Amino acid sequence: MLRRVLIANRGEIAVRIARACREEGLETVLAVSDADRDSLATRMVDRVICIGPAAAAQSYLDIERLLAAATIAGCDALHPGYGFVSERPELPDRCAEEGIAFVGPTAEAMRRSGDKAMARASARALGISVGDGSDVLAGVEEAKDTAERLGFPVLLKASAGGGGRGMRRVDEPGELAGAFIAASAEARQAFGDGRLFMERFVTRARHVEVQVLADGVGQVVHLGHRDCTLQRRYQKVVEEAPAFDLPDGVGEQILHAAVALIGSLAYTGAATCEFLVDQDRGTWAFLEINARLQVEHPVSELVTGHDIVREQLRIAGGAPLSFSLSEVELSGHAIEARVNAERPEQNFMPVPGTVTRWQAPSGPGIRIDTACYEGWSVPPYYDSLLAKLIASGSNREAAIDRLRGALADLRVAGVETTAPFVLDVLDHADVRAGRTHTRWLEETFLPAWTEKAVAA
Amino acid sequence: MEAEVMKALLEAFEQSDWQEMTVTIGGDHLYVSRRPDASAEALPHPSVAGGSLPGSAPAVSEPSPPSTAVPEGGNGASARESEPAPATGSAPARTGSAPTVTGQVADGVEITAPSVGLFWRAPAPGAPPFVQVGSRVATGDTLAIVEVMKLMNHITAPSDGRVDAILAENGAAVEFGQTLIVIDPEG
Repeated sequence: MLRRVLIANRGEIAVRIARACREEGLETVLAVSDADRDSLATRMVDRVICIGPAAAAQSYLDIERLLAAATIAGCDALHPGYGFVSERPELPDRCAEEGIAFVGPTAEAMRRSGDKAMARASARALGISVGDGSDVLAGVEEAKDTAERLGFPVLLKASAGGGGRGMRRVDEPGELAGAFIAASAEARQAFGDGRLFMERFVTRARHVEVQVLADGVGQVVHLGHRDCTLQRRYQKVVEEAPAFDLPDGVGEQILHAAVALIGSLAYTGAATCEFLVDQDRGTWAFLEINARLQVEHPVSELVTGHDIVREQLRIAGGAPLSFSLSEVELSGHAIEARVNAERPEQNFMPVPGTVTRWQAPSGPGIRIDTACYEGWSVPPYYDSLLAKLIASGSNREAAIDRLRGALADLRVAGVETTAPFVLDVLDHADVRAGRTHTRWLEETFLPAWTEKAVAA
Repeated sequence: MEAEVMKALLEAFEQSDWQEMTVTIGGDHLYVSRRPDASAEALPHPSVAGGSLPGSAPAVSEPSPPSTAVPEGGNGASARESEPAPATGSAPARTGSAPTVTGQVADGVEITAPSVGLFWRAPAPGAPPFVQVGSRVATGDTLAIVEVMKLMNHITAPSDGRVDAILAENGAAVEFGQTLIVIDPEG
């Protein structure tokens, strides 16, 4: 059993983890940077330790400082949240050395799942479709051969990658060599690993992912799938559960594939398996595994009634999952909108500032995950996520209507937000009808919207 | 908690140089603080009664020398103190008043911790300390070490002067921004 958890993160996810710890009867210690001494989570934990200056490299990204805080405060567990160091295998390694339970997979399982080329190979060994593509490419020549075989356009991807870094779409042979060198250099700089592989570029795809929990003592379960197709620059804008309107059989197939894949990796904790669903061909392919809690986990919680963060904590303490796969029942539909402190009209420029008014929506089927409060200064050093507005309803239409209402009811002053933008996205006929794909937001919606918004 | 027990605890607190004390006996919690803005929010959740508390662990709020009891201004304050104003009322018990800081300390150059970590006054256990109160130092001299998981960060003098105050105990856990040493550049 765990006793005291170091929360090694900030913002809304620190608040979320603090709540889950409270419900699990665990004491909480929050590591903060100098810029977060007044954050909402500091009010909700048993103890706060300032580990470094505002710069993330010397605070939230510094594994040794996080461990110093954990050992000084006598923590026996560490929850990394998402982002920052949550997917760095050194962190579970170092936690193990210090006798601290890491809330997540072992370093080995994280390497097996986090490396895209390795995860692809594991999936293929299980007979899971990985789409048309390659293993790690030896160089430009192999890339050229692979691209000829797949047919342009193709996508170069960093094996160690994430968040779109080290990724290049290549439309014709002449672009390939340059793109290969640039993507490899970018990946080496971002992840210390320049290995690339290639996929056939799917022109009209939905991003669908499966939430999995593995307790390491025999159970691997899924909590249904999510659709995260509405993205901008590989950053999700709207997420919903379950994925809707999937081609026949695809939903069941990816659920089984995700459970089989995670089950084959000696994995413990929460994981997400991402898939690309080709709407035109009715096919799907495994993309990658995210070996951590995800921003959009609440939509899965709302449709299943299970608390993913509490289960993570139970698993880290060596306990089995509190439910079995037969107890996973999906009910209704949930949809989440990310509200950021950004100005969408100016290419989503972040606009940090002081929140002088914060009136969050409420009502049936509304959940708000946020670190906002009136008087809080949104620091300029980190991501600009202000709040996740999540709505659930008996079906997709009802959930979207509720989310619309919630976005309209949100009253924020002091900082600009993306709420009006998301409201317009939700009102678009293509979104209502599900006629979207991963590039719809950038290629179809945004050009028209930006023109109108700038004119206004 | 029986009155006698509580009295004994409060006496022990008064005779100590502790800043805060949290005691849990069965379902009873006692929280005492010398800090003017202390609040009962520091109490643990009832559900964790019986477990030792974060505040009682060898800690950033560990006893420090009496002359150094009040953190220096904003950057010396612990995170708990810079918390957004707690909404709750008074603490279950409060004693004493905050000792004041000498004028000398307030005037000097404050050297703050560059990281969370452990504060060491000497290069090795048993070795003489880098500096004492009153030592003359030159710019760049090592004054102390803040250890972050075996990584030794040398804290150096930003200017010539005289060590006016050393505000953390040898081996104490410190937070980023906490004032460790004060140097009087005129001294």
